[in-house]
Amino acid sequence: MTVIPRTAARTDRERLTRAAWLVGLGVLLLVLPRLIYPVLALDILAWGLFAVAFDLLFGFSGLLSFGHAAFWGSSAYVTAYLLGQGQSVPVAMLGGTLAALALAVPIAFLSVRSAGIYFSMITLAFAQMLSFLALQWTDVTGGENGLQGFERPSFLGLDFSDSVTRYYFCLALFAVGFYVAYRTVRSPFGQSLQAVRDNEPRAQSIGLNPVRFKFTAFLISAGLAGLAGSMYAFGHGVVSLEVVNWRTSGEVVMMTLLGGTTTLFGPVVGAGLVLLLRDVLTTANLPVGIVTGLVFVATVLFFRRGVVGTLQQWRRR
Amino acid sequence: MTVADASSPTPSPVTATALEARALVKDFRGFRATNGVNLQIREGEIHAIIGPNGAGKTTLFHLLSGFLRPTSGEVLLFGERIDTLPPYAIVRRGLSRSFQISSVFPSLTVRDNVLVALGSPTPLPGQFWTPLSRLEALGPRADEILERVGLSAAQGRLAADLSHGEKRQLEIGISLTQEPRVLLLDEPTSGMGSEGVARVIALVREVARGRTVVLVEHNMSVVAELADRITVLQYGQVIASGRYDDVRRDPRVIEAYLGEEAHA
Repeated sequence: MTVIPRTAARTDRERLTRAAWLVGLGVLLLVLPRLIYPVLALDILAWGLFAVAFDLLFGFSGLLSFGHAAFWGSSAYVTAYLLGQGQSVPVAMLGGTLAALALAVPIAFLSVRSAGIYFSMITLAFAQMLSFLALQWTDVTGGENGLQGFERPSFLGLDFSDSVTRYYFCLALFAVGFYVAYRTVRSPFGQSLQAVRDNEPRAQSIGLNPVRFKFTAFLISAGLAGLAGSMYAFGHGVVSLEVVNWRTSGEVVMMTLLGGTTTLFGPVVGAGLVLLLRDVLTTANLPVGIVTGLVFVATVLFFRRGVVGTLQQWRRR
Repeated sequence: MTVADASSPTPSPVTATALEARALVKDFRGFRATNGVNLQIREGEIHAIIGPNGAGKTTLFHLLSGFLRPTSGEVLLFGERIDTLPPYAIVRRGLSRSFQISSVFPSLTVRDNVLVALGSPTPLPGQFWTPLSRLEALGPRADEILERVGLSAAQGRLAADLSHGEKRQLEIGISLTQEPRVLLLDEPTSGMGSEGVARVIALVREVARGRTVVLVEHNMSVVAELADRITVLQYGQVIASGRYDDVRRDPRVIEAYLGEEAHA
């Protein structure tokens, strides 16, 4: 019984660490458009939420989706299309998010029964089908030209032609999305999900149905990826085939691993680092692919827990 | 005989059979791992299943707990057929199992291992919005189970950091959370020193109170000490079944397996 205080102290310190991360990240995101140009800042929000969504499935459920561009991209297209049809910004973004969620239902149904490389290949196959559809269905997607020049009408006095206003609008949505991910992870459901990931036969023999847990996690992940994709379309005012390309699916894997999986904050940090690095390299006319690739290799080799994971480990000592 | 759990919705018939296998067959690509096994486990007993390596003990366990589907034959739990149900549904009907290789949730703490298992009927996937603190209501029961398996002092550690013996204890603790009427233990003493074996024997005896226990075991002294009855498997078939003292004199059993130990 003497150990209980120690356990309590441990969780107290964890809580403190979490609060510190939350405050630090929150302040940083609030001042971000003053530090870098707002469009890049918004990119970090969108990709950051995308990576958090991906990590719900990868880190917390043990499922490596190699087709998350399907949800990010479908939502981006639907958002841009609805804006092009004269819908208001909230309606268009909600439409995009719901489209991603609806798309996720059959994909999740067919994929969560598989594990490992099979799961990755099924998700990749669906994403490639969607990519092909986006290329061919030019009436809706604009094909090679993509969608551009759509309106972003003001809403409740918010002037969305101003990139700073767009940033803070998306910051609010980011906070909502992040909160959903946080609640999911810190719930009995989230803990059961990790139990299924850790040891599936054992999870079954305490009465958990693994397929149902993975299915639900997939839907939450796809919905958040959809929200992120709609932020991206809204922020840039342009949607191209790149949003459904397999490179997009790969990028989010890289960001998540760089920042640190199962850390919640890590993927946001990873997204920020990748985008900032790319921005710096492009302006300095350096080979972007080679440098980011080297950084990624170094991270995987020497900091396997990613940036945030490694920091947490040091603090714990 | 004891009344184990009153929560069963079906009025249990006056039969004393807890778990039964009828003409159970399992084929793997032309190899018959289980060949017409008939087995009756009486309610409240400790029943050991023994046999040489490759006799089909683990396959039989997988069949009884739903991790494998039989090619033919039936499995009945308190008279109800369970051989077509998935493992998690069988658990909810009162049969829980452990695994040959210690099977815990390594990235959770010892206490969370028990809590997540205690909470498992409640966190349906729709309830991802429930705060984790809700599970603390189950805290007292978790403490009780940890105490029972002797892990109170280790509750804050990660399951991955436990010793082999402690993982065994935790595993039995996880199985207990399901309040099983029938508990299947797959080689609970494997890889343990004599001290650990003694502790497991005590633990099994303790948890067997008020429930039926079936165990696969290699260590004959453990079997002799614990089992009310034993069943001997060879080549996927039952070659003998009954009280330990009767079975060990059976010439077929001596030939197949018990020989050296029985005369040692």
